[in-house]
Order: sequence, then C-alpha cells, then structure tokens
Amino acid sequence: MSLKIALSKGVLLKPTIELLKKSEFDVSALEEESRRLYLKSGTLSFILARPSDVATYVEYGAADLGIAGKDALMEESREVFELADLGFGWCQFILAGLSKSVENTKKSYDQLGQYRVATKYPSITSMYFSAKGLQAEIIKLRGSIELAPIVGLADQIYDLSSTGKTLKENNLVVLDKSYECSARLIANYVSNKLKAEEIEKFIKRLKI
Amino acid sequence: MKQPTVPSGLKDILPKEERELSKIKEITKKAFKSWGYLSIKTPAFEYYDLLTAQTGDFITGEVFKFFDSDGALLALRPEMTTPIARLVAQRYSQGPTPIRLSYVADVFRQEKPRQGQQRQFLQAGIELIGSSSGFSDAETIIILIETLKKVGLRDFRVGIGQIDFVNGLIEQLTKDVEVAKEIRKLIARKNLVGLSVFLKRMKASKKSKDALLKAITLNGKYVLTQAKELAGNIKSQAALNNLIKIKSLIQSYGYLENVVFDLSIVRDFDYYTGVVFEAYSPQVGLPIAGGGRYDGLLKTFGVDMPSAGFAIGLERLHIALAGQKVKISTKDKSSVRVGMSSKALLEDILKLRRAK
Repeated sequence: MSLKIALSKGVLLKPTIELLKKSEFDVSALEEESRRLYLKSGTLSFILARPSDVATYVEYGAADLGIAGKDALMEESREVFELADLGFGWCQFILAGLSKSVENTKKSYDQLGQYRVATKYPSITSMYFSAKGLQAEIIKLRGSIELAPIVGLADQIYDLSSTGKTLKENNLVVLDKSYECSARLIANYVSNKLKAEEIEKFIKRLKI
Repeated sequence: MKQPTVPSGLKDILPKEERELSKIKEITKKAFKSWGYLSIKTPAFEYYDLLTAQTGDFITGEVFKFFDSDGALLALRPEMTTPIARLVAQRYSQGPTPIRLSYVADVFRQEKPRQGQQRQFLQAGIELIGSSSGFSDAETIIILIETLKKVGLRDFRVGIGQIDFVNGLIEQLTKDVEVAKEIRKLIARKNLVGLSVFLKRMKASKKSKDALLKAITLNGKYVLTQAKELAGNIKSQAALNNLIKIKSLIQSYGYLENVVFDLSIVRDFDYYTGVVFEAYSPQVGLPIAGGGRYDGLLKTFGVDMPSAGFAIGLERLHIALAGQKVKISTKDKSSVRVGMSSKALLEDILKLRRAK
C-alpha cells in the first residue's frame, strides 16, 4: 500500500518539500523541473493542486492526505480530518482600510448600516463579522484585494497578511487582527480509518 | 419554451441505475427480513420540531422546512431514525418489545452536495427498539456486515466506537455541558489541532487531557487492550466492557476481520448514547453507513425504550459496488419493442401475451 498526498502549489510548496526531505521521504520527483501534476516518489504519490482544491481532493478520497493552509480549509469547510499543525506558512487574517478614511468609514457604517468589504475569503469574512456583531456587504474578488479601497470599490479589505508589506505600500492600515493560520496535515475520513497505521507511521516520521 | 432542468443537488434516476438500485434494495430488504425486521413507511414530511427533536445542530441547519396552509411548521425528513421513534411512541408504546422495524426511504438535506449524497438521497436501515443489551448492539452491527456482504461488497470495514468512553474522559475534564459539546464536536471532525489548542486552554490535569488525546488516536488490533489503561472512570469502563462483549459476539459470527475499533467515532447526531459505528469502503471518501445506540430518543416522545439501529446510504453503497466491479443485476427481460403498426399484428401480439 502507499499513500497519496495532495500538496498545495504556491507559497506552501517549497516549505512542504523541505519538511518531507528533512523527514527522509523520497521527494526526488517533486524536485525535478516538470509540469506534471501527479507524481510518484518511492512509496508516496503526490498530487499538485491549487491550495483551495486540496481539501476537495482529500474529501473525495482522491488523496489520502493533504497539506494545505488553515485559511483554505476554513473557507472550503470540507469534511476532512485535521491531524497536525505543520508549523510553517504562518499568516493571519486582518481587516484593513485606507489610513486616511478610517473616520469616514465609521460614519458611513452609522449611516448605511454596513461595511463594504472586499475579500478572497467570503465565508471566513462573513464568520468574522457575524462574530463581531457587525454587518457587512461582502464583495468577492480573486486577487489584488488591496486595490478595492483605493478605487472606492470597498471601504475595507479582509485578507491574509504575513509581513504587512503590501498593505503599507498601498497606504492601508490594519484595523483588526483575527484568525491565525498555518499549514495543516489533513486526512480523508475513510483513509484515516482504513489506512490508520500507515498514516500514523507517516506522521511519526514527520519532523515537525 | 421553458428550459427543462432540476434544482442543483437533485437528479433523475434513469433505467440502468434504477435497475441496479432496485436490486440493491431488494437484497437489503430480504436481509433485514431474514432477521425478523418488518418493513414500514412514514410520511415524507412531518412536524419540524418532532423531526429535529435530537438530531443536533449539524442536521437541524440542513432541514428543508415550510409552512402548510394552517401555518404549521413542517419539514422533509432528514433521516429515518426520528420518524420511526415517533411512530413507535405513537403506535406501539405498550410493546411488546423488542420491536424490529426496517425501511428503505428517501431523505432530504439542504447540504452542500457531497459524494453519493445529494440533497435527496436513499437510505436503507433497521431499528431495534426496546432492548438495551450488548446482544442487540451486536445484532445491529452483524446485520450491517451481513447485508453488505449479501449485496456483494467485498472490501469494507465497520469501525466501532462507544460514545460513553469519550464522554467519561470528557467528564474528568469538565462538568460544563456546553464545553463538553464543543470537545465532542472537535472529536467528531477529528480536528486534533483544534482539540489540542482547546485542551491547552482548559484548567484540568495533564493526565486527563492526555488520556483523551490518546484514546481518540488509538488504532490497530489492540485498541480495546490499550484503552483499558485509559479508562480511569466508571463510565468509560462500562463503555469498554460493552465493546468487549460486542467484540466477542461479532467473533462468534466470524466477522472480526470486518471490524475495527476506534474510540474517536462519535457521529454527528445528538441522540446517540452508547455504541456507534460506521462502514467504510476504500472507493468512497465518506462512510457508506452509520448507526448506533440511542437510549434517550424515545423518551423525548414520552416512552422509555432504549434502542439501536443503522442506515446505509444506498447511492454510496452503489458507488462502492461499482468501484469494486461487483456485478449487480442482469438485463431486463422485457426488452423487445413492437411498434403498433397494424391491427393484425396487434392481435397476434395480444394472443402471444395471453398465451403465457
């Protein structure tokens, strides 16, 4: 038997490969320059997926395990098991607005009864505002969120931030910090039962 | 022209799928009947507050509800155990017990469609009502295994847990019912990261915390032996003894290789009170069947009858069977088509039909 693991392409991929390498798994196939999305390396098979799709591959059992950011897991809310915090890929959800219009935004909330918030993560945004007891009109964008307040599409943005550099460059200030995220190891419901011993061995070998 | 379409999460079942599903239903019903379970039907919709009496937040949020012309709040049944509990409390409250009932029925949930589980899906199951013995726990599990085997499923396992084992360990940590509920939710999702963080914040002995974390990650052949050391309270010990008895009964039937013991199984319904179990097949990413003991459910309807049962998701079972290349049914025999083109021909056909 072998384990199929869905990995997140993008920023998490490099630290993921490093972790697997450090834990003495054969990752030669992952290090080769190639455009293949499904690779075999020793007893492990790897699926290279979009970060937000990793949980989907795992829920359906197309992959036994997955490595994805907590942010993607929260947004997708798939029925998967979250087995371990891998410790890398730290970032935090922040609410930010233009530094010059903080007061205006508050006034407009009083008048119109809701904030206009641009985000890539509509579910998490909605969860955040409802936990705060505030109302928001959520505008889903796929990227370049920082642009929204500058051009008047939204009052605020709700997004992930690790260093805050992009925010500063776009004259945005952090108004609130919320959920912290990092890379997680997730497992398919059924694989976690039927391949329990193999998965346990895999986790024990991981040098987290 | 109106665009012909159906709402998302719903589908038509066309002849080939229907033929196979019918065959699966037929075998399933026969298996239930051979154990003395009588088939019943309940209405597709009933009073909302009865249907959701003890299903828990997870299901309650997904119920299709609507008002009738009298203003009564009704709902489409999201599962079959509660309607059957209602039926028994209403019609057989005087017994005699145990009462053995079975069903094959469509249920309805507004959830995000998942694998083999759209917004309307087909369940087949049994309820054994009015008996609290370990024998009846084992009976339901054995029937589940036998049914899956009779349908032709080769590669599957039934995972068995006992809610009270975990409950006993949680009670060592907290007396707060809401906190306990939160912990159970994290265990049901096997959110080990969330659970560790949650436990770290709690004021309780490290030993009790470790016992809980250890218990829900035990796996392999010796789960029950290893669990003995963790069962530091009466509730957990009783739960463990219950599992040991069930194990020995399953062994007598020769089905031990089809089961695994797993103390992390708690299931998403609030009504479960004892043994809980799920069936897994490698071809389907989520359980194909689930069940357990629910001793308090009938009490909410005014009758004290401890009970146990299970439901199989027939569409998921169908996916598993197809994945394991199990041949399910033969072709329909009546596949000769005759066009009605002349009266003489029609008369000949009628003669042939009647001759049989």
